[in-house]
Amino acid sequence: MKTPQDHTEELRQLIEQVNATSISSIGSVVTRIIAVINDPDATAKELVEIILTDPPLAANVLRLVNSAYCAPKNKIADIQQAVIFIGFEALKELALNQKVCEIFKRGVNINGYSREKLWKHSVAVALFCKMIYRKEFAQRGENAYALGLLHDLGIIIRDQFQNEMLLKALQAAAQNNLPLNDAERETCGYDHAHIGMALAKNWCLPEEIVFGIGYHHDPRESQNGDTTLSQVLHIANYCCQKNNIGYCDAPLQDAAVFTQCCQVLKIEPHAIDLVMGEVEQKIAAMEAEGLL
Amino acid sequence: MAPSQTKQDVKIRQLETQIRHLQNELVLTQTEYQNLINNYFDIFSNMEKMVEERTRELNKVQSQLEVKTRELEIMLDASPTLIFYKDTQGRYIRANRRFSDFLNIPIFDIIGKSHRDLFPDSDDQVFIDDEEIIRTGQPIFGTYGHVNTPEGRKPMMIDKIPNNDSNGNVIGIIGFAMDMTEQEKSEREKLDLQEKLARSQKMESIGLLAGGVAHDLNNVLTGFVSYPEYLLMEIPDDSPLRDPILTIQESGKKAAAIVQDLLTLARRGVTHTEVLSLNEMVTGYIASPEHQRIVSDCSHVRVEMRLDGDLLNIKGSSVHLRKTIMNLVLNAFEAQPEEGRILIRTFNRYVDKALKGYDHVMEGDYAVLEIVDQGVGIPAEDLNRIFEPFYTRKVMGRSGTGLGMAVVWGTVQDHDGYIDVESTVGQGSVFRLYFPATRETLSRVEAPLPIQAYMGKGERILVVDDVKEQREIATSLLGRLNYLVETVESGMEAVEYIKRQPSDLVILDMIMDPGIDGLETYRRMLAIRPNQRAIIASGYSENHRVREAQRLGAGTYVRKPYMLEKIGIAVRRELDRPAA
Repeated sequence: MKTPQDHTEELRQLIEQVNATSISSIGSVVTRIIAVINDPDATAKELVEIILTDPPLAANVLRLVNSAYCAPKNKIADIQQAVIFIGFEALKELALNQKVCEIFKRGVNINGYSREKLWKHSVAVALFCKMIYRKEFAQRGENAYALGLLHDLGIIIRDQFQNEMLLKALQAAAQNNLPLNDAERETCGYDHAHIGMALAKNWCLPEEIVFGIGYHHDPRESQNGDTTLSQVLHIANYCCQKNNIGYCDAPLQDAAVFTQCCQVLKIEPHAIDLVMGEVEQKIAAMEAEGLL
Repeated sequence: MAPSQTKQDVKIRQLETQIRHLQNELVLTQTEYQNLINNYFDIFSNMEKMVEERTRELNKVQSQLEVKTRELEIMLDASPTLIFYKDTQGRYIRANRRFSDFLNIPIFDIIGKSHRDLFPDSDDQVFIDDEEIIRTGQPIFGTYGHVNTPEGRKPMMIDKIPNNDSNGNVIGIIGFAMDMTEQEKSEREKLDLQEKLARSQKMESIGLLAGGVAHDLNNVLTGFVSYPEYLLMEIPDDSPLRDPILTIQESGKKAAAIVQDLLTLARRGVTHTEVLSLNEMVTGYIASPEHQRIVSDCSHVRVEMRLDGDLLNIKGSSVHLRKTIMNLVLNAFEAQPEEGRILIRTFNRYVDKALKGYDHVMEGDYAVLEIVDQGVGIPAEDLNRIFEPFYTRKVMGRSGTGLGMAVVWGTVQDHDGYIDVESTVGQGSVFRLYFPATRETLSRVEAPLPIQAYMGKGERILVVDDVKEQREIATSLLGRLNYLVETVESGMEAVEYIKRQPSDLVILDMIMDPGIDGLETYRRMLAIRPNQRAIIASGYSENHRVREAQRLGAGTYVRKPYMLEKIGIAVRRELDRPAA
C-alpha cells in the first residue's frame, strides 16, 4: 500500500487544478478572514474591509444579519452596522461561514452523497470545536471554528474534481462497511484529509489548521507539536457523527481514539453531553431559519 | 458507590460542569466585549468623521443651491415679462415680481390661487389651454387674450411650456405672459401717423398740381366770364338765347371761383408776416358784399358775433385768413337748410396741453376763432376727411368749389396754428382755429402828428456823420424844426468839439469808416460830459453795439433814411426826457 507521500505529485496537480477555478479566490478570502481571527490586535475595521471587497459575501452577510435568526429591529444596511449589531466575534464566524459555504454549494449534486449534509456536518463540528475551547479551556480557540468548517474540505474537492474516485470510494465504503477515508486510501491511495491538508497548506492557512485537517481521523499520527486542536476536532467529529448531525463518513467509529483524546484533554462525558446539546440546539435553530 | 449516591454525584458533577462552562464563557465574553467596545469606538469615531464630511458636503451643495436660487430669482424678478409656474391643478405655485406688480397683489397671496381667482371675468382663452399642455406635454406659444387687472382690461400674449419632472412626467406649466398694451398702442399710433402722412401728402400734391393748372385756367376762363357779358348786351331782352348765355356766365363765374381757391392753395407756403387782428378780419368779412349776398339768400339763419375786445393780434396773411373765415361761414350756412344760428367767437387761450388730433402743440398764447353752427353735423367717420380737397358730403358742384376746407386746413397749417372740430350729427359743429398770438401792434399807418408837436426851441444839436449828403439832409431837416445844427465828419472830431463846447444833443451815426464808431465816440464823450444826451442813427438794423450805446444812455435808435417826422419826434423826446 502506498503511503500518502507517494502521491505528492498527484496532489500537487489536483491543487493546481483547484486553484485554476474560482475556489482559489474563495480560498484567499477564507485565508484573510482566518488571519483576522488569529490576530489579537485586528480591528473590526479590517474585517469589514475584507467583507466589503467581496460584494457577494457582503450581500450574504447582510442577508444573514437581517434574517430572523439575528432579528434586528431596524434593517441593517451596511457592514459597519452589522458589526455593532451582532458583534465582532459573531461577524468573524458569519463571514467565514458564508465564504466556506460557497465552496460547498458550488457545482451539482451527485447521487449517493449530499453536499448539504456535509455542510451541516461541518458547521456542527465547527460549533462543537469552538464550544469545547471556550467552555472547557476558557480559551477563544481562534482556529477551532475555522478548522471545524474546513476539515472535510477534501471531500468536496474530490466531489468536484475527482468525482469518479469519490463515487468509487463511497461504493467501497458502503460495501465493506469502511470509513470513507479508509475506502479512499484503498481505492486511490490517499484520502480527503490529505487533499484538504494540501489545499490548506497551499492557501497558507495557520499550521494548526493544516495539521488539524490532515490528522483529524487520528490525531496521534500528527507530528505537529501541539495536537490539542486536532484532538478537539476528532472529539467533535466523533460526537457529531454519533449523534447523526449531517453527513457521516464513518458509521463505525473507533471509540478508543475518542476516549483517549477525552482523557488526554481531561474532558468529562458530562461536558461532552452539555456541548453536544447546545450544538444540536443551534443547528436546529439555523436549520429552522434555512441557514444551512 | 450507592446508586443513589452515584446519581446525586453525577447530578452534582453535571451542574459543576455547567457552572464551569458558564464561568469560562463569561470570562471570554468579558474580554471580547472589551475588544468590541474598542472597536465600537473606532467605528463611531469613523462614523462621526463621515457624518461631518457629509454634512460639510451637504452644506456646500446647499449654499451653491442658494446662490443659484438667488440668481434665478433675480433673473425672474428683473424680467419685464410676467413669469409663472402652475401645478397640474392649475394653481399658481410661483410667480415673479412683475406678475405680482401687474396684479398689485403680494406674491404670497398669488401662491395657491387659480387663474379664475386672480383674473375674474377674463377671457377663458388665456388659460383654457393648460389642460391640453398637461395632457399632450407640448408647449403652446402666442396665445392671445385679455385679462382683467386692477388697472383695467389688458391684452396679453402668452407662451406656455410644460414643466417636467426627472421622469418626464408633466408636473405643471411654466408660463411667460407679455402685456401687449403698449405695443398695441404704438401700433395704433403708427397706423394713425401713416394715415396722417398719407393725407398731408395727398393735399400737398393736389396743391402743387392745382397751382400749376390754375394760372393757365384763369386766362382761359376770362373768355367764359367776359364774353357772355358782351353777348347779353348785344342780344334783345326776349331772346331765347338769354337763359343759356346766363347759364354759361354763371358756370364761368363758378369755374373762376374754383380757380381762385386753387390759386389760394397754390400760394401756400409764402410767408406772410402782416400783424393782423382776427376781430378786424371777421368784421371786415361780415361787412363785405360777398357776405351780404349770402345773408340775403339765407334769411332763416341768424349770425351772432362775440368778439373779445382784448383779443391778441396774430401774424399772417390777410388774404388767406379772409378766405378761411368766408369758407367756414359759408359751410355753416349750408349746414343749416332750416332755421339756425351761426355764432362767431374770438377769444384768447393759453394752450399748454395737447389738442385733440395733435400729439404736440407749442405751448403759448393763441387767438382763437370759433364758428359754431346748429346744422346737420358731420359723422365721426367723415371728420378725418373733411379737409381733403374735393371731399364733400354735399352734391358736388351745387355750391362751393370743393376746395374750401382744404384752404382752411392749409391756412391754419401755414400760420403754425391748430384746428379742432367737434361735431354731433343732428346738433351741429364747432370749428375752433388756434393761431399763435403776437404782441406786436397792428401794422397800420398811423395819422401824422402835427409838426408843432416836435418843433425845436433853438437847442444846439451836433450831427456826427461821415457821409456829406447825410450831414446836409440832417442839417436841413433839423434846421427847419428850429434847431441850431452843427456837423462833424468823424468821431474824433466830435469828441474834440464836445471838449470845446457843450451841445444839447448829439446825433451819432453808428458806422463811420475809418475811425472810431458811434459807440466809441459816445463813450469818449461821456468821459468828458457824463450826462451828454444822444440818439443813434444807422442804416443797419439794431445790433449789440447799438444796444450797448443805449445802455450807456443814448436814447432812441433812429433808422435811416432821415425823415422829418421820425427824426423830429426822436430828437424832441430825447431832449424832453428828464435829466438822469
